[in-house]
Amino acid sequence: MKMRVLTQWLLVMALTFSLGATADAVFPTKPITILCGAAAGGSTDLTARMLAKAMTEILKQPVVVEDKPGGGGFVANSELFRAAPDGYTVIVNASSLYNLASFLRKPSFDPWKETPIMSYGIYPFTLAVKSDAPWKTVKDFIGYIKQNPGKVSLSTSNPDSMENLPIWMLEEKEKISVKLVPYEGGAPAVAAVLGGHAQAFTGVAEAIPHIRDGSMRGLATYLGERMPGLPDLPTLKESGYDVVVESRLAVYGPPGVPPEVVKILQEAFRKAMDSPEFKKVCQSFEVTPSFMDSAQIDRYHRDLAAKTKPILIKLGKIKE
Amino acid sequence: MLDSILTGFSISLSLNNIFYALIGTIVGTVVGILPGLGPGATIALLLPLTFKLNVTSAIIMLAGIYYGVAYGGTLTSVLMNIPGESCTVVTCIDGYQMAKKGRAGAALSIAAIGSFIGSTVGVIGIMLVAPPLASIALTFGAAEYTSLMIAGLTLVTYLSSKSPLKSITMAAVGLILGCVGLDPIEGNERLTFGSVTLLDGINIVPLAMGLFGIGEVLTMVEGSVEETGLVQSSVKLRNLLPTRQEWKDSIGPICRATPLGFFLGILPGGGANLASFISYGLEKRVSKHPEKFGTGIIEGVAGPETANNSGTAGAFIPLLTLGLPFNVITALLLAAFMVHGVTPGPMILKKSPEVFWGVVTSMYVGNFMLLVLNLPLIGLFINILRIPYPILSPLIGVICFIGAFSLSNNAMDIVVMVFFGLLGYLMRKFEYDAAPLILAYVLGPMLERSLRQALMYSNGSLGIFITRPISAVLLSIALLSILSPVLKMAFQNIKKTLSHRA
Amino acid sequence: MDYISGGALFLFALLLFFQARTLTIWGEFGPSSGFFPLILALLLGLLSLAIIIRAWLQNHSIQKIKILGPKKRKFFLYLALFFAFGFFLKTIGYFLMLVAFLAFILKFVEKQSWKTTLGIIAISAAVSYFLFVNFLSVPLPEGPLSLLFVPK
Repeated sequence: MKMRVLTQWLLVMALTFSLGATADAVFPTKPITILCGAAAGGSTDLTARMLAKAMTEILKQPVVVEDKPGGGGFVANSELFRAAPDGYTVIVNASSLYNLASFLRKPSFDPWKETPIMSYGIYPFTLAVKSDAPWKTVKDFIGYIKQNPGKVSLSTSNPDSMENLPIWMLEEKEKISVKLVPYEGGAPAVAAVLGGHAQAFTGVAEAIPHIRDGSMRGLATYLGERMPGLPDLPTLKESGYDVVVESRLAVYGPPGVPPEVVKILQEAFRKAMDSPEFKKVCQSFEVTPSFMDSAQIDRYHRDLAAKTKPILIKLGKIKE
Repeated sequence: MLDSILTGFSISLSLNNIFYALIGTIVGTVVGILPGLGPGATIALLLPLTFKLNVTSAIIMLAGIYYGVAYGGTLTSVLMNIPGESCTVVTCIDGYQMAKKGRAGAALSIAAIGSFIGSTVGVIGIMLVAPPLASIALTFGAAEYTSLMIAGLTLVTYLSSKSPLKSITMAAVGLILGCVGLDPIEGNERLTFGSVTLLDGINIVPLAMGLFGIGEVLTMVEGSVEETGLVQSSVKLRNLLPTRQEWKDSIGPICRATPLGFFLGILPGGGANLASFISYGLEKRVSKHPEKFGTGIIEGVAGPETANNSGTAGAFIPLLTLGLPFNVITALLLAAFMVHGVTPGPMILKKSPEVFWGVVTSMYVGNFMLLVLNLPLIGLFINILRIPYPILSPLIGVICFIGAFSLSNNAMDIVVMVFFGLLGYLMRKFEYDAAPLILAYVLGPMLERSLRQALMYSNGSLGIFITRPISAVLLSIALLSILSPVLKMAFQNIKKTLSHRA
Repeated sequence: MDYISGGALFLFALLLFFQARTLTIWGEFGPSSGFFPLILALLLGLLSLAIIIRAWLQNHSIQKIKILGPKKRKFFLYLALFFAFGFFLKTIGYFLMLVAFLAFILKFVEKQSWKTTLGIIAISAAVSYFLFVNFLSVPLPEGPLSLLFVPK
């Protein structure tokens, strides 16, 4: 008799637990927050918002974007580490966090501990000069630099984001040296070129409208393939320099998010990428939509970091 | 061009667009009133809503938010000594004092009218001189900026009514506070003591709200100042409007502030912020009674308010003609343009002139709407002053908390703000002025960045500041500004000796 | 009086000086990260000394100034509550914090009637909700009340 009661209790408990487990399997059951380390209105924030909107329909739960700009993304990432690893808080980061910022500056968190979820796009990169400049190709420009050491300046929007990396790589490969003058954003950096202070601009999206309407000439993009909206802009590789740098928009979670949850989020994001609004924003900001699942983006970032570290050491930017 | 303008008006005066402008300006005013609540976040939030609208209507609405904010921020500055936005910090200085003297209505009216004049003339400026001015602005390089910042800093002593030594000291403290955070050129952490909150530096919102708003509350609460309160004795229309004398006194400042703000607004790098500070300094400099500044005179409100609105208009020029946004708000407007498939820039006049003129003419409409909305509401807002202090004080606190928090969703910003509130209180007690600190804090990082950029361009040679003409001119202005009191004294002595001899 | 403020500023300058020394001072083209903080520390040090010296020359009295007016308790309570708001906002959530804060200040510090207190709390909470959560979608921290909140 006692055995029976005991078994019944055990059965009840097992049922309750399995119900609990199934309850978890029906993730999500409450709103999801996507953290964004960049300011409102930029390409990171807006693409995230469009995805969030689409995902709200897909997951039948509100998905909201919370901007926490500051420290080049450090503030938002610190916030991520304080969140529970249950998949209800995720973040959109640029690749630069994992392979530049983590080396150059010492964050209080370890970005490599974060759980990779997926990647949805590639940032546009351009090397651009003023339209009345004498250089029509990258070769011309590099030739000029070689003949005029110490005179050439490039403007960038940030002291240590990915747009500096291809320039460092070129410096190393071609044995040239240029001055990279950082500005507090893309717009002032572009203004510096238009005003004749810097000879070229290396950066993300800001030059693109100018390339399109003719006030600036794009020399190359650092991506592996030409960008869909600027089909006439050759890649650096096509121009004869073996340098490819791609910075991706990647979604990560706090350390320890369970794999089933990762899968659900991954699929939701992938479906959200089909939304017309997302595509529209990508088009406007020249973000190349491109899907990578969690394993792919993890491998991508680790490879990138492995490639970047020796360059940074060689350039003296970090010690061993 | 006249018919382009007319086409523009026909677009902006369409019922639909008037409606959108109205929404934008109302939202903007509300956002401006609420301290710290960034127009940036608001525009970003409303952006997706505009996808359904056509591009002109979308921009009209979003732009409305932009200048609505400039109007709204004045309210809290005058009534509660809480700077709503960084551009209204200067208004706190004399505006709040005017409120204490019972002249809050006058201050608000002049601010509204000055703002309207500033924006309107600014818009005219946009129409007439946009492209050439934009190209001139581009020639401002790092060296020119450095010299401009230096010239701006020399105005520091004019911002304070107390001892110059203390003003300069406060400026030094302000410069130091500006260094907290990431080094602008190399990105190294400085003075952050390991705190994540400080990683991005001390934001001006908790700083200004703390020093002014919370500091004021603490001072009131502590009770050594009599709680005479700000109760308006009567809410009669006469007391709400400026007196004839005040009108007369305002004309000069408004006239000077409009072009000043406009030019500063065009410059890349947030010149519009500086506009109000520089206008205040300028007014004090040319005034016949500089010692009255800080006690609540109308010139201290008329000038800065006008300047920051014409600066707002000026900031549109690089956006529309070059496609370059130089502050968060114009950046968002650019995003809005791009999402709708329009690229602002030199081609906009050729490719989409109706967008350009539609937006520009709607700025008139919007500003006019704001004036019409705000003037009658002043009487309503004054009633806030009637709330007895015991209730008003904690409410001011709450408003400040929300403002500080909503900046980056970080509750520690509130703690930072309260800390500065305590500091502000101590500063009042020990007779130090907050204004030079804030000016230096705003200018400092820009100065440092430009200085180091200039040296990078010149490979370390200091000559660049003198060989470039604009920079040289600005530096001479700065020099004159410092030396002029000395020179004045010298001249007077010479005159005296000469007349004695005669 | 100025002795105290001058002294405090001098100490601050000293602190700054040592902090600045941990950074690189001079870089490739000119000043590096630590240059400006260092110079400013020196400047502030000089200025604070000038203030102290001037106070001495002008024979400022060293009497204890009344830092705290008659209502010391109120002042400290306000200060404490202000800090508390910041520290506990995330844990308790905005609305609970608002209620607690206003209740405490209005009733106990400012000695208002219960009617006034509750009235103000109600109005503030309502306005906060409609303005911030509904209209402007500002994410206010929810704390334990998060179950009640479903964002739009």
